[in-house]
Amino acid sequence: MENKKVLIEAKNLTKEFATVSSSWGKSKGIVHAVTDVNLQVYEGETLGVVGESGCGKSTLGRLLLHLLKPTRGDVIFDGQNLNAQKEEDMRNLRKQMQMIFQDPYASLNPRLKIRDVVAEPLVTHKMAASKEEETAIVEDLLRKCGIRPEFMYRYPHQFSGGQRQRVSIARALALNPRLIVCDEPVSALDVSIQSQILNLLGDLQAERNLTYIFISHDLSVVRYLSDRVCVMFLGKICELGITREIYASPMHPYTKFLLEAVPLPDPEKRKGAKDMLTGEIPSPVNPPSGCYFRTRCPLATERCAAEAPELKEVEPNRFVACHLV
Amino acid sequence: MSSSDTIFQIKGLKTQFFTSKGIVPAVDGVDVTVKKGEAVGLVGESGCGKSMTAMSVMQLLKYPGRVVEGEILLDGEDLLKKTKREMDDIRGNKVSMIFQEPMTSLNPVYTIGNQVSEAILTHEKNVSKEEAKQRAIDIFRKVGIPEPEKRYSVFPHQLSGGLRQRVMIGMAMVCNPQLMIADEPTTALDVTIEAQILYLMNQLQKEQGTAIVMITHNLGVVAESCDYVYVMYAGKIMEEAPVRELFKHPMHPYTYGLMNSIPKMTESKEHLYTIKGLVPNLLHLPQGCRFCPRCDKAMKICTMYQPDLYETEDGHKVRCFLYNKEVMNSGK
Repeated sequence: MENKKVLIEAKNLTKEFATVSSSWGKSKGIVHAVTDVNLQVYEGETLGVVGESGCGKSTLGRLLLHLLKPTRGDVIFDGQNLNAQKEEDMRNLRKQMQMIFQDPYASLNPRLKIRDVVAEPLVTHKMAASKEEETAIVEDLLRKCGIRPEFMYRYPHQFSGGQRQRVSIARALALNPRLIVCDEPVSALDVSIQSQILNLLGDLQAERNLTYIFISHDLSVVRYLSDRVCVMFLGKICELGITREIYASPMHPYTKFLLEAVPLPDPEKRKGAKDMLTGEIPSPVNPPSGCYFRTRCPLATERCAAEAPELKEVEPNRFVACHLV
Repeated sequence: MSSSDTIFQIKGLKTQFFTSKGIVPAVDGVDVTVKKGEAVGLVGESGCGKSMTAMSVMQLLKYPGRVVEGEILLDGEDLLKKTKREMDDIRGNKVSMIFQEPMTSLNPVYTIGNQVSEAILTHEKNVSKEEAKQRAIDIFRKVGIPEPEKRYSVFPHQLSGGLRQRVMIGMAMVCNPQLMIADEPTTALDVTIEAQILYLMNQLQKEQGTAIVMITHNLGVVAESCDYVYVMYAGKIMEEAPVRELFKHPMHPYTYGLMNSIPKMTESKEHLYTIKGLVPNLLHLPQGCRFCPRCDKAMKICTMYQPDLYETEDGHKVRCFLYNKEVMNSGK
């Protein structure tokens, strides 16, 4: 892993949103969506990003693609700082990074035939010389993603959820990107369809040396697909490391509880009450002082309230943000 | 299985939707038996008819859906023969239901205390408002809502999803129902909150002896919380068995496929098992077994006839010709 090339890197990446809630449009507070995230993603790997809803995992995905401008910090893609790019250069870089969204019902334009959905990036970036070439590329992409090319003149509503997700994967592949951010790509699908899509993503990665940032709340899906995993809580990284190692021996208390909470499809391994996380996620508008997790953490000490823990490399390739580790 | 401890039974239920394109058999001859204090799981993918079974029981089906056949017996009485008035008295009182979306199933313009005490006042005639309030606060405490007195006068939007689901459970439990139907109660929640809610339901089931029908697509939730499981596919029960048995030996090819297509927490990056194809359109069902077009083990007979539920030695009932001795011996 050491000598692998870093494809994308986040440096002190922070995003704050102002919440407008008074009727006069005055800002009432600041949502700390992502705070000081430092992260490197290597070429050809899959980095899983997990956490509960509101932990900033989707915001992080969008920041990395520069779909959102960070409040502070930088994103470096293949050696180039995305913040410093001119619009034109940015457009060129965009070709190399794509996204797959959660909801295949909302992410495809209902008024375009799927041929045009998949061809749209080619048109925007002028990648095909003629209509015929365009059609040929689209046919090829659809076939790769498991959609029969003769269906390409149909509209999205004529497809099932799983097939639509295949279409959005085909669209993401159209420009031959190096990085794909998958934001909960299988959460809206049934189990039997989910496994088909996961296998497809795996095959495509092997074939094209793709880099995935795989955002999901489903820990077993992340376990299955990713090489490294990044656990987030309230906009900060708690733990980052090789998936196998984190799942086998989580170090951050939050990771432990999160993994413990997953209901396993095995009635012999039912949980008792003892290993359960109590309480709810604190508000990102008023996060607690010090360590954000301390209000739910049974091991919290005075130091946790006073001082925010840094993300430290405790073992090679294993980063944990906790005073107790 | 003595019939005396059976609290709830669905017999040969058929629910159909009379659409302009034809009759959709959403539930097609479903039998379910629930014993006192038992938690029964109803699993399947979307569109398999699990929610429609629950809606038929509660008689909350929307037009053009209708129960066309079958019996729904609660404590020996057929709910389908009740008048609308009588049903109003049963719903929320003897049978209650928890829905998936805690955001939309509470009324946004009433306080949660108001909504829970309304359930008490509707069903119990000689309870004063003060008593109802006290009982609502007690149930809030029981379902683990912090500061129940203060929360009594709070509106749903002021609570998180997990707390709202606790309110829903409180509302469902406040009249001590004999049966609680939970339709995907944790699907909208985060895993740590999901674990809390499942634990809570388990506790209440044990303490109050309420029978639970848990409807879910998540096999993990079933393994965690149920005693007996029914697997549904395209409107029919495909397999039923006690939970440990089912997970140890899934027998129906569909159950087997379902269990093997979920990624495990301990393995990675091998190819996942997949069930090929798609769920059939209920308007154009295959002639034989409904799972046959997607089945790896399909035989000739599967395309022609519909299998029955066959009982096997280890307590399963499986709707598959592979477990019919006559068929297997005749070598078709």
